[in-house]
Amino acid sequence: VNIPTAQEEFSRLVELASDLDQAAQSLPPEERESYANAQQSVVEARRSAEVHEGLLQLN
Amino acid sequence: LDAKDWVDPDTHGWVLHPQTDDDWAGIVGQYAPDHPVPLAATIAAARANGCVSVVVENRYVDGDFRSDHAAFWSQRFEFIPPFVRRMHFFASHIEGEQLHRLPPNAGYLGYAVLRPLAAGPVGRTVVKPPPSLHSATLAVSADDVTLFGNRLSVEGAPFCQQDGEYFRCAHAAAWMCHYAAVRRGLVARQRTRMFVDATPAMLSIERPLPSKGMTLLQMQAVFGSLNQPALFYGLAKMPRVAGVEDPSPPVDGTGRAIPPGKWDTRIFSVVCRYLNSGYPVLVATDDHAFVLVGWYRDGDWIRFVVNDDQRGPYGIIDSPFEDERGTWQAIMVPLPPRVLLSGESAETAAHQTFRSLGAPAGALPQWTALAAGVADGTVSVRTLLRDASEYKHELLERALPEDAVRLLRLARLPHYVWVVEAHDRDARAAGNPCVIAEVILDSTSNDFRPRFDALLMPGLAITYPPDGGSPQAVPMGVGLWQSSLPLNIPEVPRRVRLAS
Repeated sequence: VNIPTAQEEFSRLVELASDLDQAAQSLPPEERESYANAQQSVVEARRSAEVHEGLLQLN
Repeated sequence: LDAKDWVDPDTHGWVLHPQTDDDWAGIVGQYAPDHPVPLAATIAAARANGCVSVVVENRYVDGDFRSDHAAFWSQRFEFIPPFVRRMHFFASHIEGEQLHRLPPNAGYLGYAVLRPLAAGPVGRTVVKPPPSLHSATLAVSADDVTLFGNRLSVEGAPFCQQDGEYFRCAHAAAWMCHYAAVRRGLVARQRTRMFVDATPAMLSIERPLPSKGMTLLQMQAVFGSLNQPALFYGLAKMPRVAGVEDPSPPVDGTGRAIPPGKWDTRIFSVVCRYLNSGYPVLVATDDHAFVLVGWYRDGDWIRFVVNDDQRGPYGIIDSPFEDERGTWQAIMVPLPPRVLLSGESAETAAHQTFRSLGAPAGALPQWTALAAGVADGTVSVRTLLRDASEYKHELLERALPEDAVRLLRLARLPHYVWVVEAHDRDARAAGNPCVIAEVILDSTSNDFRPRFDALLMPGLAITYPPDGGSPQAVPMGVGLWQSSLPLNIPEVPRRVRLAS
């Protein structure tokens, strides 16, 4: 059995963490989609101010 | 209030030693006969901290009220004095003979400016939070005061009351957010008149004065002119965040939709992200605005601490869904203008990374456990906005390896960063170092694509330099480290709290 040295193990971790976009590809497609939807909802929320909200008169 | 007697030219001030409830009620009745609640709540906070002496500073020139007076109150046919009184609260017995040289252990509890306005006497106020909020996370800041040559300091959440005609609840709520930022060194101080002057008249059907308050559109314009553009959350469309439950919109018995202010639990996580970061959060109902300045856990519930110009400082909201002020409609969070990334986007990006890195076959067991923990909720995710310089400064106190501290301190970071921590719930509950992993994100990046500045995982710390630089990494142990969240002990300096 070829047991990796600590340096080899660390290098493997660095490789994994160096490219987070690539790492994200290891998730199942449906999970990647749910994250994309969540990010999109944040952007949509930024666009969401409805007219009546902006005109509430606070006194 | 009798204008003739408001300013005594022959005295600097006086000391009161109220002892009974009636004594205290007498003070409230003298200064706030028409709207006693805000002043009574201010005094209640001081009394809860053991106040036994009240120093009344006579003929005090308050820059805020003087600005209002010049703009509005001086136009009155009847005389309204341009001076205020300032009330200072002490936990020790102070005699008039000591006022020029207060003892070092005077026990200063804060101050309240009292305007000569029956409809709204309480001006700029900072009082120490009551001991009952000891375990709350509060967005407080330190304020420095000079009283007869004595330098005093108090830590609290700023408060003021509307005056009913010129400076309304929306102005007061905006001012509370502004003065907190001033005391944190984030923005230059503006006088209260500026809040009215900066209100665009074309965004309201009302004539500007006497003021009918502000619309949310006007409030955003005011926050922009204060260099604190506010993130806006309409409760009708709250963002989804990975790991945070998306509640389903309920309907009433007739099939009509119930307003989200009555059920959307995402309110809690959105508000707490900013309060954890030290930023007050403004809430709007249909017709009122107030400021959340803290939160605490009470069993299974989260309670909010509120400064409401009509009710005073440090009130408690048991549930936003049953708030007697009205149904919550919107949330505004005034932030430094360079913060472009939202906390929700940062948290989702971090959540995805924790999941991704634990997914491959052969991943480090601790990474796999982290990925499983954030998915099933046994690992808790906490997100806060930090000044990067403060973040770097406090790294030494967080039980991190020296190599990781060096890597992060030498990293080139923007002025503000979002920090997302993965917590071991048991370790946190026990008060031990509890952070399993941590992501640092560039606050100037976009919600579409949050940019990572650094990542701390079991076994590895790595930074992602800007402008296409090569990632830099150092080994880490697999132990837990200290959270950068506040530990909620206001009396003890932060660095002491973190070390203890």
